[in-house]
Amino acid sequence: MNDATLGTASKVTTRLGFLTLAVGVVFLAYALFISPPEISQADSVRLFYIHVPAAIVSLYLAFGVTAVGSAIYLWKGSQFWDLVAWASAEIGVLFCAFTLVTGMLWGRPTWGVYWTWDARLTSTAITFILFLGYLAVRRLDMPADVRSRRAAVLGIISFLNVIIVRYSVAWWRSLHQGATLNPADIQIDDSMLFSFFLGAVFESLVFAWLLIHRFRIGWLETQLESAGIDAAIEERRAEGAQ
Amino acid sequence: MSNGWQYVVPGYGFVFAVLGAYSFWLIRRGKQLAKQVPEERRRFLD
Repeated sequence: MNDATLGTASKVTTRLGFLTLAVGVVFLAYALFISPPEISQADSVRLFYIHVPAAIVSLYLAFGVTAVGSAIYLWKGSQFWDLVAWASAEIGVLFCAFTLVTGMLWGRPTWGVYWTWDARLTSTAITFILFLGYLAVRRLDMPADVRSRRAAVLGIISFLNVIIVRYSVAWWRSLHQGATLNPADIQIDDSMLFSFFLGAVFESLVFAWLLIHRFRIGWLETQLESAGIDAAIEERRAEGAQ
Repeated sequence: MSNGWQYVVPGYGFVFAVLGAYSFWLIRRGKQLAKQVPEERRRFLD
């Protein structure tokens, strides 16, 4: 059984945390120092190694887990998956904010502006706002099962917007580039490709570490809530017995 | 600084600062909650 002084930490999360830190150090070394500047973008290309993995982790991984968790919750009523969906949405919003901020910073030297109402940027911002709404629903004062059901429906609907984000550059004329890497025809320096790969691994590990801790916090909150309800019921019973 | 570093540094700085702050909050909140929840209810913590 977990020692209360450890909180949400465990052997698994500690090992995962150290692995994440080690990968993070190597990633920073490659992304900021070892990989060369790009011919036209110079050093601003280094934002690519953190921006694109953040987009992949938030849109596909985190919000994907939220959609799957929400669907399983609606199907089976599993509290476990409800909490996983919630935890993943919160971390997804964080990574989506990273995507928007690093994208804006990359846009300034590349396009000359921080922001433009381009289809890819706008649809990503809408996804960010939709999942902020999801997090707001999770905090509404209403019965827990009703709140979870409403959040699950919103989580699935919000994830559908990710499809629009994915194909926005093809459906509308866009300033944003299309697919960053074509697996059939990769034309990028090896150290740049490795930096991108390290960024993707690092951000995925961070996501996994945060997800475990955030899920455990959600679990502890529900246990505290139900322990409070149990205590109140016992108190009422004792009052009735007198 | 030139050649794009004025955008790279704030970008990486923002991401790592927010990640650090959020991780710190998670750990602290977890410790606070674990102390309040009875041991038999601390499932999923191992």
